[in-house]
Amino acid sequence: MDWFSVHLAARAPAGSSSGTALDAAADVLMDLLAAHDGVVSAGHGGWDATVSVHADHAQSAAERGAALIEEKAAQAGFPGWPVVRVEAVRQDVLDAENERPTLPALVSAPEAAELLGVSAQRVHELAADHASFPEAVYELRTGKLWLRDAIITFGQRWERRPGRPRKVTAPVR
Amino acid sequence: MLSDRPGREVPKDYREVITHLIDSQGWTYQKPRGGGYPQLRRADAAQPPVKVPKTPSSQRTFSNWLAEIRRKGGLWPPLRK
Repeated sequence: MDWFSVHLAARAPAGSSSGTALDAAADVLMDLLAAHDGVVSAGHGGWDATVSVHADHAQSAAERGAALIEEKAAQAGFPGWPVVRVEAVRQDVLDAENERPTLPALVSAPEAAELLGVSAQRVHELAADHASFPEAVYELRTGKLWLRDAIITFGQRWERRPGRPRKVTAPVR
Repeated sequence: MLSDRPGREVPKDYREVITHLIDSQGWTYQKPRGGGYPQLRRADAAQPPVKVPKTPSSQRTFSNWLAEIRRKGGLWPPLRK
């Protein structure tokens, strides 16, 4: 048996949201789920709750956790809105996920240049001309931002040709 | 909307995350009014507020809460420079 974190999301049918009432119900649900490591968020036409349950596998954890949350949510006074998501994840896996940054590492042209061992100007040339150069994920007024991992991967696959790029000259007639 | 600052009403682990979200990501924190739970809301008002446990809780509760914060768009842990 392992501990699983079970998350359930319920959403209001169109046109039936009630923020203030949900806030009071959310406080009650926090009390009711406290013994199950419960966490609640509610408002704007929906609510979410997470609990921890002890189970043999993720599927039975999802069933038990969802049933527990739905029972306590009804007691707390939540309307019987449709459940739109149920997820179960083993607690140690969730802990590992929580330690990974949500936002991937980004780099601007000077940092990309450092990673590739070229000048910032060359990065701009590559971005404009090289078919395999990664797409920028953001384009700000101050310049482009790329995923750091994408630049590193490009650097590993890029077949560099030594020396200056050959000048393209017009044929002599 | 001005944010409250988290105090002793929430456990220390939570306080560290809440303070970071207020100072770096524009979230707002509201202390409990009349016996309810404190809550944390993202700058994007379309996201529902997340309740914060008041008493020292288990590591599993903290982990579940952190996952909910991340689901709502909170960036944690902070990126290393």
